[in-house]
Amino acid sequence: MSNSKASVTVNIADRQGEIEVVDSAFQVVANGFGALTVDLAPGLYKARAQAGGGRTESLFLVEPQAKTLTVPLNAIDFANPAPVQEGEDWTRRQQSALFDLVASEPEDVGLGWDGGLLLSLRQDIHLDHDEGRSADRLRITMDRLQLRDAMGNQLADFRRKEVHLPELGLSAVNLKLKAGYYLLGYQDEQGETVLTPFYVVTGWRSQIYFQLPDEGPFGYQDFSDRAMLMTPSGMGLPHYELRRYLRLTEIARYALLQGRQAITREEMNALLQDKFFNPLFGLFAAHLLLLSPRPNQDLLETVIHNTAGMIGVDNPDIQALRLALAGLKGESPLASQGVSFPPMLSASWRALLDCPAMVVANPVLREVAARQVAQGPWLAWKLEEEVGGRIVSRSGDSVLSPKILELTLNVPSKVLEKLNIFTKIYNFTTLASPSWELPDTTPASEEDVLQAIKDLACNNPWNEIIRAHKKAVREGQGGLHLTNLQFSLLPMLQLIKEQLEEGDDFTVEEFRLMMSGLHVPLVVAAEALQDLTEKLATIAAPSGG
Amino acid sequence: MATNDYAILVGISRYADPDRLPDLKGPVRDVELMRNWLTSPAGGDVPPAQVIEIVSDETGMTLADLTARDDGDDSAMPPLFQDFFKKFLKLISKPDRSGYVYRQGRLYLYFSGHGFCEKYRREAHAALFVGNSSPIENWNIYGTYFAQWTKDQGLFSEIVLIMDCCRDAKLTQRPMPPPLPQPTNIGVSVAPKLFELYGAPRGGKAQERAIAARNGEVHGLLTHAFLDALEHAEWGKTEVPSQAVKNYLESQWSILCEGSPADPPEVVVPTIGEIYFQRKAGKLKPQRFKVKNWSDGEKVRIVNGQFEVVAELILNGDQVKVKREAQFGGDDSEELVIAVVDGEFELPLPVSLLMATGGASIQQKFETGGDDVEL
Repeated sequence: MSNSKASVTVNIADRQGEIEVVDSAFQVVANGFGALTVDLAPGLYKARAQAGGGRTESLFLVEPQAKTLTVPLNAIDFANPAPVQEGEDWTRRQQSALFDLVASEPEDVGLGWDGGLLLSLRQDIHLDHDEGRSADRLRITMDRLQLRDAMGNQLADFRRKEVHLPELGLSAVNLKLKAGYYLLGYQDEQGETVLTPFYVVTGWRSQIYFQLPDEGPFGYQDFSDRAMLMTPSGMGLPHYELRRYLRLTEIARYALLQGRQAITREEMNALLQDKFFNPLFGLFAAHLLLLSPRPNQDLLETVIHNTAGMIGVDNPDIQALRLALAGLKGESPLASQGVSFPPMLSASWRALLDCPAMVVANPVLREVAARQVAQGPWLAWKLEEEVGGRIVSRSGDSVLSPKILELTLNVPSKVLEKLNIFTKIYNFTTLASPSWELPDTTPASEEDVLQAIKDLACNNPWNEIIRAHKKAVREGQGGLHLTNLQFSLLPMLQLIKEQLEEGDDFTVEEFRLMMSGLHVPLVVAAEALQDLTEKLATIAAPSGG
Repeated sequence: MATNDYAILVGISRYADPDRLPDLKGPVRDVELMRNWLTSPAGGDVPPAQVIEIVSDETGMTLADLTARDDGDDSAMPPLFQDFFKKFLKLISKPDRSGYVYRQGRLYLYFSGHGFCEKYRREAHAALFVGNSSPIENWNIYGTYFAQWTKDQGLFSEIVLIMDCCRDAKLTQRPMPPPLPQPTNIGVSVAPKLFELYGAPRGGKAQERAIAARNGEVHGLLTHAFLDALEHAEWGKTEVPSQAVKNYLESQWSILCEGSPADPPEVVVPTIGEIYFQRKAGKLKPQRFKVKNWSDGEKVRIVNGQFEVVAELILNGDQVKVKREAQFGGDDSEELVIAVVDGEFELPLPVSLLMATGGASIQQKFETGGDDVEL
């Protein structure tokens, strides 16, 4: 019997996915992407592959006499908001109808014509498909989608020429649109709205694909899990090419969601080459390059440069990437007017947060900073309040009872003073400020901030405040209107209070460790605490009496 | 006995905010399962007094009781963060709280219930919601933080962290770092080993379900799978290294899910070396076979990945005569007779990639415990 090794090639039909080969003891003996070749001793093995959350596997035998062996794996099925799978008859018809729409000329609805927007909402059709119910779900969901300009003004006309094909589980709009920054919104059954940014570039059409879940209402998760493309206006793509783009988009999006560079060299090459027909590939590729342990800075610079050439050097995603590149090189951020509109990708937002000075203070960016929500790689946030179709900041009134108000505050003014000084240098709270300015104030020391936090922790009857807040919420009177970070800080403040009341100190080291555990820059935490203090102060002395 | 080993087991099945965090059936049972394994001489062999349990009282106070109280305070739904924190501090501190106790042993930190992780952190981590967690008070136990902190302080030589909970990537909630001091003994953290098991990948859902292999009892899938790995991985050996647990879970996951797919666990092995789980002997796992082309009297061999014969089977009417190789590489083998019922029979085999070969037509590759194998 020969024990010489055989050359084994494992390949996925569409070359898209992460492959592992394990031996009979389940040890991983080889891994790669799309396809791999490995020399294996005779024996039993398993090839497994995953992509976009889908998986497939196959057992194979390397016989003692074998010289070569090929192990084919089927293309991996995974859920996709765009109809890229070709299975049952209805999926082919749905795909064909949608792709024909993509190939058609966008409608002019009076919102400009520099670029375009295709918005698709689809759902799977089952054997027990109730067409009436399906049509209602599509209609209701589409009605709840909002298109807003960069200032937050709703553009109601965008649905004027909606294409509604309930028999195919499809609803879509395909319109011409003025180049610029936009917000896409979705208002749920409770009336809460989540917003996400996107942009329309001259000569390009932005394509956004949503999928309705099988059951239940369309939720924030589904809104965040959208697929997106940007393709040149007026240039038709063959169906197979569009399908390939959408599939590649989903693999890249999934890799970003996982925070891993789980993408093949071939897939990266495809992203890099095809970005000239879909600039979003350039953004994906750049962020995926940044995920590698030692990013190729030259390549990254080229990708950013080329992508900027298509969507603009001032584009917020481009600026975020330039900032990340500067950080890699150890350089200071390039002189810039700052970012005044949120980027599309949450990875870009993270990069911007590493340099808060780049973020120009304005209501939209404050909303993002305070109320970010999302499960997907796209940036999204909850709209706090709007009046007359415009986003506004919420006032600091309270519904807590007078009894609680009496208990509530005796926050020394020095708390606010210290936190104010600490956060002022970042000029992040000044709504009217057009751009970042260099600090002209000496920051408070960490010890001062610590003392202010200890004062804040000890001087508030947290249990009473929280109980009253819950009651107010239960009775539909609103509550404290705290941000997510502030909700996270509440238990920490209570723990600090308990610790101090038990006679233990709360040290700078503990404070530092807590802040590092929160994974927010100290200035952001300090601002959240400052704002919390101000809200509690408002409770104690409401401006309206 | 593992006299220097300790465990804190947390199982939370009842919450003050059931709309957001519905009741669970698994966590308290999971803790019981873990405790049984930990205190078993054939398992963890930890002294029972050193296994601390913090679980929901499923027969005691209900949410309705709490909200009916005079103060209307529903925020005291136990277990609380402080219940865990105080026991953790007591375990690691000297009685007079003058410093920490350093042990050459293993600490098991086990958490079962609803959980989440922080969206922006790439490294594996998770936090467990406690009983009084609510949208306004995000009380939670940041399990990864406690495990990492214990490692950084060098308080135990080995730490096993098991978090059988969801890892919804939350922006609206953050894991809560406890008020613990910064480790000062830099360098000590190189030595301790940390083995982490999470019930789901980042952003994924851990699941509890009725598990046929455990008499239909509801358990967290990760807890079931972890204990299954300790019983079945590395057949023929009396200890299972952490890497083998990881390999086993990755390969057997879909089988352990018993036909209903679930997000796979995330397993992080120690960066240096292995943590070994001792046991008396590995167990065999049942594999179902269907008789189709197999002729009476014909011999079928089950071989492993190195083509060594694991078992020889001869069909004899409505029976299968089995000669199965013994464990630990001994010369002994055992013979048994298994009844064939409705053309099917079940044979316990080592968990591995195996192949059944016989005659001209039978050559079936399979993974033990997986799909039925046609002979």
